[in-house]
Amino acid sequence: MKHLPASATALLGLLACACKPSESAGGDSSTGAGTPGGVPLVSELPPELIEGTPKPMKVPNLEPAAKAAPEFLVPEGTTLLSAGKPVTSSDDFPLIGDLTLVTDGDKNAGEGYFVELMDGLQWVQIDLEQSQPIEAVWVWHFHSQKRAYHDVIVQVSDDPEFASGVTTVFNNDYDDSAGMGKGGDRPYVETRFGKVIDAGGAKGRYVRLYSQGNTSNQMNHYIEVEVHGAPAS
Amino acid sequence: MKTALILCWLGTLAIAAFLRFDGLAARPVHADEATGARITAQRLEGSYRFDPTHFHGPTLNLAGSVAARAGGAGDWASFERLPLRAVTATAGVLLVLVPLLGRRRFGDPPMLLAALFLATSPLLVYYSRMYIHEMLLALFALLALFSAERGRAVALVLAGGCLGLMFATKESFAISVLAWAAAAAAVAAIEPAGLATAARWIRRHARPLALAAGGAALVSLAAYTDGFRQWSGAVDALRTYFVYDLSEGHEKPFGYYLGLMGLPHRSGGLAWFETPLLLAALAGAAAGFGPPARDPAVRLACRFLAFATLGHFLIYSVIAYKTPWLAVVPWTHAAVLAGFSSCWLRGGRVGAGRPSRIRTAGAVGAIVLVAAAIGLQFLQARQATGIHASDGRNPYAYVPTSPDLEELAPWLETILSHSTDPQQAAIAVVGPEYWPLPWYLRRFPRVGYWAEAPEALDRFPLVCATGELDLFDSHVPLPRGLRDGVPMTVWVRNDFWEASR
Repeated sequence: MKHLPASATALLGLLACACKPSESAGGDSSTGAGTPGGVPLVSELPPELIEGTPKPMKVPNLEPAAKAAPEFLVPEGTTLLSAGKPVTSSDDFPLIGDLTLVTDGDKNAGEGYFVELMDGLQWVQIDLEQSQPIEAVWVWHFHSQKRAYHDVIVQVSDDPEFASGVTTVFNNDYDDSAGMGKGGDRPYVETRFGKVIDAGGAKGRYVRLYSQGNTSNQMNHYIEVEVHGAPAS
Repeated sequence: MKTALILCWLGTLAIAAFLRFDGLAARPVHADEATGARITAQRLEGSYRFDPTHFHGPTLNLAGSVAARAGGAGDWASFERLPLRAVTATAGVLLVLVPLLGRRRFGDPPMLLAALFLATSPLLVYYSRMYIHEMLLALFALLALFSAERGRAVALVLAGGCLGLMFATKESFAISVLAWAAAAAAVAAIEPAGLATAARWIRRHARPLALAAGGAALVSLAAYTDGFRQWSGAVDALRTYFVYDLSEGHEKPFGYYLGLMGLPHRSGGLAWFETPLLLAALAGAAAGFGPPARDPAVRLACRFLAFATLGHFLIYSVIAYKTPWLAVVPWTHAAVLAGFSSCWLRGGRVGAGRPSRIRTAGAVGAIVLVAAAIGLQFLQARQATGIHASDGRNPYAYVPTSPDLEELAPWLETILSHSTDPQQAAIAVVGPEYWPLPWYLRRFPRVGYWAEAPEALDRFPLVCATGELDLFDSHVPLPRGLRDGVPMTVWVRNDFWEASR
């Protein structure tokens, strides 16, 4: 490791700048922004250190936050609706695996357990075969590596084309890169415990899940998707 | 016939150029490319000093600085990846043309086939497209071999110059010298009166050999002393062999290179192999001991290349530190050796002693096999450098950069645009092993890098963290990719997060 010359560092400075007040939601521009009306704090910033080849990461998922499966309460009588149900996708020819893997009940992480869709914004869609209230969608994209999927958007509808009557139950596209509107949900790192999404009883026959690549590569993966709800009477 | 040969060579050149230059700027910048680019920028900005503990010799950043300047760069912020990668891509194309030097001695078929293997090898194509030292090293190595093989005084001096360039490119040139010396000794030992002949040849060429050694010393000295201006570089060039710092975490088993290059394997549902080239190289090695060896030039070349290839792989396999790009120089030898597999077709040696119909069928079968091998290599090279160019399942994409980073800078600019003064807004990078992040942040005027969280970190509008931080009260954490399997967290200060929504 080597430092850059001091002349380079001398030009660097830290300014704990403020956000434009007019653009701060709720007028709360003070959080972490220092003293309102104060003067800029200036300091020297350290330059980058030139390093050798980073170590390859071939370790199991190290996600520290999730040490147990998430606890999520649902109405009594809620059952798994999606087991073995037909799955369609925006990618008719998955690069790896096939779409039946999405609802086959197997949540292992290795080869042969996931379907890989091509790069870009892609979706899978589960046909529950009848319209019913959905309490939760539990999704495992890929968990043999520490990664997060981008633009995870989950929608429910009775329209197989999702042109009308669409309820969005989850959207973590914080920069609108999917072009479907910014979402308020937080991105998350994949773990073997999956992600439980509160569907809030949204009623529909079809559940569609979007994603747009992940933090490791541009592809989209699904190991399993479970849709839980009250069975139609 | 001559026109057909010219067309074949031009076609090989076109294939090599297409595989190396098509979409050259598309792949995300690798961490080692980024550090190489940073060092190149230091040279352009006048602050470069050779570091004997790391980052190899100066030829790459010398060539890169010329290319960067030609591309309009004047400082780190104005660097672009295409001019830098054009340096190694050009070296990769020139490498393919080196066998032209052996046409007179060995004929067109083995040299053309060697060029085709060099042109289409996925490994060689992949690392021609990466701004690291290997392709320059391979080019100088092959030029040294083909120059030395001609045996004339001028050619020997040229070979010496190439040796000097190898020394100035990467300290692992010593491995090649060792492997070549061992190979030459082995060839001489098994030739009748070979050692005596070799001794006579050395005595007869003592003067050009001395000139070659002088040329090698002069070229490497010029490079390491930055044109004879920094004499400490001359000492450091030797000191590097004692103080070089091999970073931990890259240790692999002895059979790594055999598995990588020789054996077909599946990774993430994708199939990878360069086995056909290995099989052709084995056929080339056998040519040095079978009927084709009646031609002394073929015999000596095949035997030398076989021993040199084996020697390179053995030495690199013994060393615990292993990366896929270290296979580039050994594989270059294997590709040239593979070209000599065509010697089995010369003079009807395939099916010799059999009826002519069988001989013809054997020759046609061999040609079909070779065409299939080249075709497979081409497809593998496209797979390795296309959509999977920066995918961890690609065996050549070692510690690849996440494609996420390509969109990082515009997104951060959008967030900072909500600042009262975007040009003054600072970004903190906290944690270890953050490369190639500095490449992607090079145009932000205020970026600081810390191994541990500094004081007042919660005041930064943006914090890129490769380790764990607790900024939950002041910032919103957003996972973004850094490298394969290594996400980082971009912490966006609450007021900027709210303003950007």
